[in-house]
Amino acid sequence: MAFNPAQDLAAIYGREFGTSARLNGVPVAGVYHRAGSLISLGGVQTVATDTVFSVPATQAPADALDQPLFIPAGPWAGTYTVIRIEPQDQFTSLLVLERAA
Amino acid sequence: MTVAQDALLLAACQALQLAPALAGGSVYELDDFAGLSEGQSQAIVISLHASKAQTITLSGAPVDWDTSLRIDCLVRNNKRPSAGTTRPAAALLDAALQRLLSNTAFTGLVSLVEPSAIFPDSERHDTRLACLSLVLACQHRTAAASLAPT
Repeated sequence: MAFNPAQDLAAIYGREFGTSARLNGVPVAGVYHRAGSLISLGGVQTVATDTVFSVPATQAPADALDQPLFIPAGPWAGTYTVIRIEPQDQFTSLLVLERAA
Repeated sequence: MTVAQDALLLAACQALQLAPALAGGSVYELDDFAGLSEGQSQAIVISLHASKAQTITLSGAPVDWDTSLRIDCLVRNNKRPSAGTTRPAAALLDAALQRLLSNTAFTGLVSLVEPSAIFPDSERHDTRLACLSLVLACQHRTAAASLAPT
């Protein structure tokens, strides 16, 4: 059976695995995760943590950059800013987030 | 055996660790630093930036040195606490400079100490990570044909 992005992604990003959010006020469902990496900052090693929200590519418009993403509930509740948009694959994109103060 | 440049590094580190310790006590020499961990909001890392001997004119005479220390102030979430206030990395750097210039155990090792440069670096991740680096210029003297301080 062929992959149907509209149906199959809806299942992946549905309630069981996904997190409900609002991207610049527009409802969006995605998968939240955090990943650490070692970077050199001023020549000194530092652990940088990236917060990433994976969404269907159709819900990651280019003008989402610098827009607020609000997660209303759950362990990751809060307001974020989209600082990068990275293609993950043909059907999904990664919104890289910075926490608001 | 004491090496003057190493003694400067150690004295600077100890001065910043005196109570109340800066950066919550997260003060390290670069060679002991494993990296700013996710749970640390601030750290200060001290290293020897350069050390250059002044021209020696007399054999057997003491050697004067221009030694610079690098003070790296690392801060996670370097946002202004509120409008018009100082960013945490800048506040930490200022506190470190004031501490070093007023600590006689450190200043007693040098004939002159003054700030010579500041280098900024920052990156956006889940918070704004910043590093403000201060180069502190020091003049001091060692014995002839030795790195032992005089």
